[in-house]
Amino acid sequence: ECTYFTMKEIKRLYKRFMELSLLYYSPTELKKMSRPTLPPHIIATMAELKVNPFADRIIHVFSDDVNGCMTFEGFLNMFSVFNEQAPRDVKAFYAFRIYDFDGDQYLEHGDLLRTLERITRRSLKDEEAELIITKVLEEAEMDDDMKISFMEFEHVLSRAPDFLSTFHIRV
Amino acid sequence: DSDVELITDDDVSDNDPKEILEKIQEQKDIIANVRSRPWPMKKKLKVLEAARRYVEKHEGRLSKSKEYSEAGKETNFQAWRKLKRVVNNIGVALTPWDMRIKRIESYFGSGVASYFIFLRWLVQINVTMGIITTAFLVVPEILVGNDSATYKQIPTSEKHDTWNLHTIWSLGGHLQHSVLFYGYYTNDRVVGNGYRIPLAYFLVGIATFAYSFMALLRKMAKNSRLNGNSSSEDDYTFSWRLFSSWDYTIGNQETAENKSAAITTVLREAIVEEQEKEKKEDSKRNLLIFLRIVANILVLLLLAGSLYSIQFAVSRAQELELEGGGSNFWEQNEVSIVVTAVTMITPSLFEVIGSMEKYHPRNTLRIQLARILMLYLGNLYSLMIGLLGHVAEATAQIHLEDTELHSKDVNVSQGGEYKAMNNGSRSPGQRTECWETYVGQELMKLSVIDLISTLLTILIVDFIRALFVRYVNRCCCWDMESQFPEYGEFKIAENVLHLIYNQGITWVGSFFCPVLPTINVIKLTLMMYVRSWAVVTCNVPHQRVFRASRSNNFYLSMLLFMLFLSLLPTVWVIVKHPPSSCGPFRNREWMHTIVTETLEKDVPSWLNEALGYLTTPVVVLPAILLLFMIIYYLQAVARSSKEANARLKLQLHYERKEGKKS
Repeated sequence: ECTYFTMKEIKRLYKRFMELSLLYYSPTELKKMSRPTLPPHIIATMAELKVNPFADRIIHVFSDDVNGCMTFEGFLNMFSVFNEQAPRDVKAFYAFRIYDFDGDQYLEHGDLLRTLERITRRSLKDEEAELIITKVLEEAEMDDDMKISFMEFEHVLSRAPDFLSTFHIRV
Repeated sequence: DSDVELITDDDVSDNDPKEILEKIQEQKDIIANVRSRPWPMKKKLKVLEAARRYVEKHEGRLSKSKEYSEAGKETNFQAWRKLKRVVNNIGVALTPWDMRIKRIESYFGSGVASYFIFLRWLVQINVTMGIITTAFLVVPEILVGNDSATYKQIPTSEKHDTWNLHTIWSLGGHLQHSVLFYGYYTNDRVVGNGYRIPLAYFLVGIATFAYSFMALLRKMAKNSRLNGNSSSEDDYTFSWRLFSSWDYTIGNQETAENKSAAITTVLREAIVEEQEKEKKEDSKRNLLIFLRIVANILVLLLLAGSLYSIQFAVSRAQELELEGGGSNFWEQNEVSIVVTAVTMITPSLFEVIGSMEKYHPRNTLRIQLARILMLYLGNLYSLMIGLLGHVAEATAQIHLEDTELHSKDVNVSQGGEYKAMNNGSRSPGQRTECWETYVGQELMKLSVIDLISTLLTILIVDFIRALFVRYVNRCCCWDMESQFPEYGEFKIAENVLHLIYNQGITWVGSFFCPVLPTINVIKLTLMMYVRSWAVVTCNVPHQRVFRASRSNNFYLSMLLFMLFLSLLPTVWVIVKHPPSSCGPFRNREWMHTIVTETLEKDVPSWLNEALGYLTTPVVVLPAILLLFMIIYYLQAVARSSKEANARLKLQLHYERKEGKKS
């Protein structure tokens, strides 16, 4: 009930999770633990996340403690958000947290710059990047504090044509 | 802790059943929506459990009231939703070539993918059309049509070479006298256990067109609704590109690199565009205007030239045929080859001309598209007019010989319409006895040759070139990969138009050759595979990637235009042209006589009478008037809501600006 998955899909995800945990723990260790948690570098080996420039951010956002370790619940939650049935506002909420690198509830210049660098792999010139960020701030800005709050972010994304189709991971 | 919270709730509202009901409703809402809350899973589970416990506890008390039935309704609703999800899943799983298109998309961006999505949609349309024709025409004809009728037998004069390669190629012999073509179908009003083939033929002809119209319009409406949702112009270009351009589905190293390169290009392009908006027109205007005028004149000349060459080919083919010639390969297929050659060569010439006009790239694309569409339409139309004119002339002569009464008006009217055709008195070729079959054969030949030439061009222009560039590059003095021959580029515009043109052929021909949609399905499927293979192996991504979502409806409206225009010849044939002495409508004055005939003979008399009343001016005129009024009213409503929309948008814009200033 808490996810956008059917029973079968959850079972499949559980299998995936267990396979991943076998990379980290020995089978006997695993049996002893009631709720195994996985450190971020193991989760990042998944094919779906390996090439994603935001992989570490995604894991961080969905992890259960400060070190970025993830339980199965967090794991399930992550894929539930990336499911195509998840509504726009949930997706937007997590997208905001992914792009919010310093975690201060606002996207400001630094966050945007890092986002931009990640999606373009630093192939833009500095002045181009600057220009883009100024433009973005100009467009999304409503209250003139030169940072984007979640409200503003959601408003921008609420009409983006392909946000729903791109913020999506197939499992 | 949430458990405790619930118990206190329980204490407060214990006595008031209404309040409990409200609470239950609230908890149920939570249950229904918990998955859309951005909470971590643990919290969700806890809240869910608590809410459930509460609901269970109190539901028992209230179960006798109406509340219970509501719950039942809710589970029903949930089941329905689940079913819908399953159906959706199946639909997704059944969509063919999804991964293929995804892969292309990740290499080349959404523009190229839109071509393939369009192709896939066309396949779907053709499949439905093919099913309609096969189920209602071809199968009944095979099952219950009487095979012994003389017109289905191959004439003895042709019998000796029915299975020659040559005969097969020109679709003669057995193929000509088969379910492939119009001429084969039975004309008995009722065959077998009451199946009426002529009527079915007529209705299927109409149904395929009607279906295409419906499908097209529905698709367009859906597209425009999608666009309407997100058409707030370019307010957020950069933000959208920054926040939603990374495709999280990508799971492949190379693709990821491509994608980030593509995003870089898109962003750069946006910057350039932004700067261009601010920049004013520069000095060399006069030269530019002059160049553009010259270009347009050249384009017109090319159009005229290509139309003339098709006309010429058609009339030459006729002359050859009337002289009893047309024996070798070239003469047999002259018409189709000329048409195909024109459609292949002229677009590249247009492109050369277009490059000298120096419009903004997006405009160049638009103009290029419009020109090529003109060319294709012109081609198809001159071909149809040529063929039908040829037919008209021939039938007129037959009628002259028969000295029937009404033939004279036909002769006069058609002679007037086709002055271009020379009116010598020759004995008509044997094919013209069954001109519908003849037209069907020509169109099918055109379709097949078009397929072959497309495959050949892909092979030569793309594949061989790519091989050449790749291997000769090493021993060459300049960099071939970036200069002269290069790798082929995938030209979206031309390819999409080619598809539209191809669809036009199918629509025109489907009345004369009922299996043409089915053949087209095969053709399109083949093209899908070959194209996608060619694109992935030997094309390079377009240097400029354009957003595809905007132009989607553009393609569709062109397709609609094509459909409308290809409907006209068929309608003309049905309404205005007497059928020949073969096929389902032989011995009838007009093709549409079949409808009145059925009405008179097979429909109960009261219904007939009612229909008779319906078609009197007394009913028809008011109905038309009413329709006009409705159209006018709807248009007025649309206009006013558009105005309101614009005003609201303006207001929004204004408010944002105001907000920024303060």
